[in-house]
Amino acid sequence: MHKSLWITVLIIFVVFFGLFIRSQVPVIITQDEVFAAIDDAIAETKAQVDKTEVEQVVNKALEKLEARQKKRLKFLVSAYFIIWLIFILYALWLGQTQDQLRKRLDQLEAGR
Amino acid sequence: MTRVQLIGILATLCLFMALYFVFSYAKVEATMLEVQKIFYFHVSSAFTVFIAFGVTCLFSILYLIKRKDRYDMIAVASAELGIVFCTIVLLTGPIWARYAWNTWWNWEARLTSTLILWLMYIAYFILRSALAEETKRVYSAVLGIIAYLNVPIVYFSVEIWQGNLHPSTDTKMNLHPTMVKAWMISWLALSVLYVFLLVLRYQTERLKSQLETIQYQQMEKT
Repeated sequence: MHKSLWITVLIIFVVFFGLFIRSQVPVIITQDEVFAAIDDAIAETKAQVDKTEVEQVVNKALEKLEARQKKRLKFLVSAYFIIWLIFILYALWLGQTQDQLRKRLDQLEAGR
Repeated sequence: MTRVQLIGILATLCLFMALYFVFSYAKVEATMLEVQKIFYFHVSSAFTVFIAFGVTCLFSILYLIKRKDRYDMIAVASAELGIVFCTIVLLTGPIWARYAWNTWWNWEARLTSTLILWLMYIAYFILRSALAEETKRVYSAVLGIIAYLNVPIVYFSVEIWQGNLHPSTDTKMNLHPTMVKAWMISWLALSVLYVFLLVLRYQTERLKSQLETIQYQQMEKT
């Protein structure tokens, strides 16, 4: 029972955590999308700006944002991985110890 | 279905609910962003540590008064679980610290007192393994009571020593309502998990005791 319970807990954790991480990772914005959005923004605001410079700045900003988020998610994944690893290892050790003790008890009872 | 299995299923459901509230319901905090989600299980584990060591203290007192073996077994089981939860606190704390304070460890009051608490209960088990059967229960019960005195020190350490890294004890009340809910449910889930593991660990202690009794009886026969 213990093993199946812990496998269930592990699956639940992987599904939830996986869904969360997936929902957090930003949609990869392609160069074409960046150019199109900048074109639209310049056209709407009628601003007199150097389009190439703006594109470079926007791309750099996107890169930085994605790198920062990757770093944050690494910390989050590490923490939850440790938490679940400790629980699962402890529960498995407990189950194993109980099995060994029961086996030994049965042997002794049989030898009486 | 046995009572233990029921508690196990309840613990699973609570963990399921806690994960939903932490990752899907609670608002993402503005400063720490996703990393803040470590808080829910880190702080909940810390509170479960207080409960676990509290149970050890209570049953150690009961053992000293009534000298019943089962009180000692519950005290030991709970102390071991306290160490497990405290290990989680001590390992997830540095991950938070590295991101928030740019350091893995700091000899700040809360961190130091938590480490001392963990070491005190490690000493509890060293003491048990070093002493003879009769004396170990009494001495470890005394240590189980004395070590618990460190729990209020850990809790109020930020106020006592004016630490500036951990927030004071009333800060958590300023959290966004969705975060408070997620935190409370995480704490509930870990508490139910603690009860489940406590029952399993207590069963293990009983099996050990039965085995020792039979072995002792066989030795007497021969």
